Amino acid sequence: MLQFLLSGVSIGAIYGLLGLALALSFYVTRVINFAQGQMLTMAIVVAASLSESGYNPWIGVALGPIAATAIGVVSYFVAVRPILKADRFSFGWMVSTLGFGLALENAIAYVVGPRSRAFPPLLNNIGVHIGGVLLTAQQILAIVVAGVIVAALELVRRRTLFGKVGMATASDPEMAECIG
Amino acid sequence: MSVEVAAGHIHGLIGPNGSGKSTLANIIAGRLRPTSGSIFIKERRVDGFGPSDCARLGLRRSFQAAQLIKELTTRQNVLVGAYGLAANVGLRSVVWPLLASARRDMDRMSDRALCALRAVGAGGWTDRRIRDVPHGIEQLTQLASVCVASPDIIILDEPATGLTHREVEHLAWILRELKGRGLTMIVIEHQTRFLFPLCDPRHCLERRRGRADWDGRRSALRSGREEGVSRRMNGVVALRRDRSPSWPMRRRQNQIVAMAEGTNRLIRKIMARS
Amino acid sequence: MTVATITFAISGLLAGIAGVLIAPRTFANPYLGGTFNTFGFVSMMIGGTENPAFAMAGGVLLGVLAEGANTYINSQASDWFPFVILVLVLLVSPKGIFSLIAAALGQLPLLIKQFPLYLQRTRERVASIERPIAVGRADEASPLLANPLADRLTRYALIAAIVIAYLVATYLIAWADLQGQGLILVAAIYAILAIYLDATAGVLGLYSLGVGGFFAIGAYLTTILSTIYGMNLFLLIPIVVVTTGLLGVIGAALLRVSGLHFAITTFIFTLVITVLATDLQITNGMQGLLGPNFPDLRDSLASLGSPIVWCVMLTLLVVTFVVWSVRRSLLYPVLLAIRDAESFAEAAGVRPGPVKILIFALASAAIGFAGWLFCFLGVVSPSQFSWSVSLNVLIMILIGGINTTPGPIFGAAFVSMFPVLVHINPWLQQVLYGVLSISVVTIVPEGAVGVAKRAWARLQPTLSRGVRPPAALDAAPARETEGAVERDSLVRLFRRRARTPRLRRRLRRSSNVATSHSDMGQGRPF
Repeated sequence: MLQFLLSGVSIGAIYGLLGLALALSFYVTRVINFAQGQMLTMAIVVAASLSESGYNPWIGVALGPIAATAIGVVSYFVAVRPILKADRFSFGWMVSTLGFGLALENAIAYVVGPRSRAFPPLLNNIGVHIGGVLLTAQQILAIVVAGVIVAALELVRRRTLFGKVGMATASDPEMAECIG
Repeated sequence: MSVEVAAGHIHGLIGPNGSGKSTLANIIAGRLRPTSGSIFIKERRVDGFGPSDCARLGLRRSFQAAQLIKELTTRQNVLVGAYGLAANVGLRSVVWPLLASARRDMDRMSDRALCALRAVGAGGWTDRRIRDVPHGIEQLTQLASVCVASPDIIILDEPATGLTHREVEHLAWILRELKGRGLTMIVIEHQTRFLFPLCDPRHCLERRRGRADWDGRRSALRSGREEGVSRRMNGVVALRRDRSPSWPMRRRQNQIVAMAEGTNRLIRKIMARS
Repeated sequence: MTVATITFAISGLLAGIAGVLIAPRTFANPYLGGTFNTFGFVSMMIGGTENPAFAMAGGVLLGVLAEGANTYINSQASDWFPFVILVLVLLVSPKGIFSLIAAALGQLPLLIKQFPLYLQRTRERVASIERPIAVGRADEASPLLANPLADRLTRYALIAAIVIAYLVATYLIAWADLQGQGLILVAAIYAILAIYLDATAGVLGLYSLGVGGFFAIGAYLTTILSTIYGMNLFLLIPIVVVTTGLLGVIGAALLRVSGLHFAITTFIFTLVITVLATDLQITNGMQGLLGPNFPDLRDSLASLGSPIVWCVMLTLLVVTFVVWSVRRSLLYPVLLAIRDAESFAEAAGVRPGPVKILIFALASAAIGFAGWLFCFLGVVSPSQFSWSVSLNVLIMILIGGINTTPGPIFGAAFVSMFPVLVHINPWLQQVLYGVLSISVVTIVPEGAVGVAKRAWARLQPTLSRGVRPPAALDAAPARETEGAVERDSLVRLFRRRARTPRLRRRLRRSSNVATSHSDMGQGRPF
């Protein structure tokens, strides 16, 4: 029973990261980016194709999130900002982010082909025994990374200026915009 | 607080921002639920009813910021107010153009809406869309949608906001006419010059009200503070704001100010002689 | 703006990190996004929106539950399990479990104090409410509104002409070649979907992304039950319609949360249905099932041509008619009020909740019926019902013109004919759809019909736009005459006050007779 509990926590950490991404963008800007799943795919595909082309897989691991970040910013400027500029309270961003996700998904399929490809099991092969339960190092890494990120986010939110600005924008976007 | 509103009279409600005027209107009209106490409309207890149930009992209200459908005309917006007057609208709507009774009802309701618009003085604007119409006419359209169903009680939440001087005079005239028709009105307003001449010498009783603020910290629970003494002034109820230093402005609509402990006064509304 | 940019950047980064963390455990294919979207959205909804970190807690909870389901139920249970969790969470607490917990901890004493009062009030509330106050006799018909008979006859003639032309066109299509038939039928079915989505989203404001899911249920249910279990095709119509209708009711019951949560839930619904269709044995996975054949008409009607064409086109006609009549009825301003100004509608005696549930259930049932129609056209496979189909239908409405009658039809025709007329790589085609959806929402939100209307208005400057604005209140007509008009209107408005219900009913019955007499005097037909 502990087995599935721990492995559940590890995969849950990943789901939670994606949910955190969604919730964060919603919290600050009141917009949900329906294309987040596609950004996740982007990272995976970039990393996978890099590793297939022979580079060190860790480079792929580093570049993947960077690519996803770039796409995130692009999605904001293309799909969200024009809508919000026109009318702050419309729901048009739902359609446009969905469309962005659709376009992204199929662009990736066009560029690298739709078949699945394997990814080198970087840390997945290392097994660690915890209390009679077998977990791969990858899973433990996932939990650790997720925990660190959440803690960092909370710290940033509460203590730093940027965090407070974020909270202010969340509660009253127009006023925040007026202030700058 | 305890308020009694007599039928067929206009009662005013004034007070500074944040003293609870709109909250009181929302509680009476059913949008908010009081944490204690009760509300009676025509001798029927209605606290906990929703706004649509209160509307069916004959109570209509207007909003401080007029919410109307921008892409429809004023007449169509007033038709919304006439919703309950024709029977089985939903069922018949799927084959509406085929039914002669539907055409008749449509004409009747349209005519009624036109009547209501004329009655409030916006008769010249019946076929203009709301987004093309000046603010004063929007307020009048709201008033028309309130009147079109011949209600017994009307609550007006700051009806004179943004109106020109001439329009305010006109509004006062309309309200006096409505009173002549036997309507009971509760008017929340800042402009005392507009309100005071309207209200009756016969006024409602207002006793001392105590307030307690609930803001999540138990230490903040107070009871029976000093404020809330109202002045009996020509049928106008004046609410004073709590002067304590840590009184926050409530922004979320669903947070009700809890009544003072131990005071369980009933709120009696509109004991109508019907 | 910088705040938003940075936030989106961080979100992208987080998504990327999640991606590389999961990469060693799965295969990398471009379509993973959809599946993970489900999990991400459900985590966010479980967590609630009070604090982004709750989403992580929600994710962990979801992960544990999914793994548990995998272990104890079925190795594929984690595909549909998140949706079940989501529905439960939304039923219990629309704002997410963790927000609820946090709020409850703060509000617990007040909740405890309020509970007996709540029970008491519910009991009192159940006592009956008065029937709505109905007006007794009809007011005399105002001369402004009498529809001259000639005007109405012209309109009827026009409508009859359109209908006849439509039937002739259907006949022609029924005898056309199979490929052309197939194209038009697909366009027509999508038009039906678009019209219904427009009725919920455009008129009522319920943005449902669940079109694909209900469509899939209709098609798959029909195919499975008829080809594998051999049920009568026409008996399946009520089964399919009732099933999707009931699901619609459940879905709309989740509507008491905001429109955004509704959109997300329906989005996840479609994703889950697609995944189920891929996984279950009975649906034959990605290859799909071959749809049944439409039974031929009796010999006497055989000259009409292909029966399926008639079925589909007649359904389209009926659907268009239904939505068109609702738009012209008294219900239409009420529905728009529920969309734009819900408190205004409530204050007028409308109950928005039941109305929304009813309309959404009816639309879902109709979409299920469209699925029934669809399966006769060929293969039924999961890729035809994915979330991109829901998006496609939304795009159709937006291109054509939201909240108009011809808009969805035009949009459906355009979007479904487009790939046939322009031959490009299917992936690039989807990319184009995505780009199209973004640009339509950004640049031309009112769609083609809206653009046409504006062009028409500009070509006709002498119509209502140019009329001199009516005299405002500040102009000074004689006070007495103005007052007289208004006083008279007030008298007519308030002439009949509420009396006892029985008396009113009797009045109404006798007044109907009076009405018909006065109608005869006006020359109006019964």
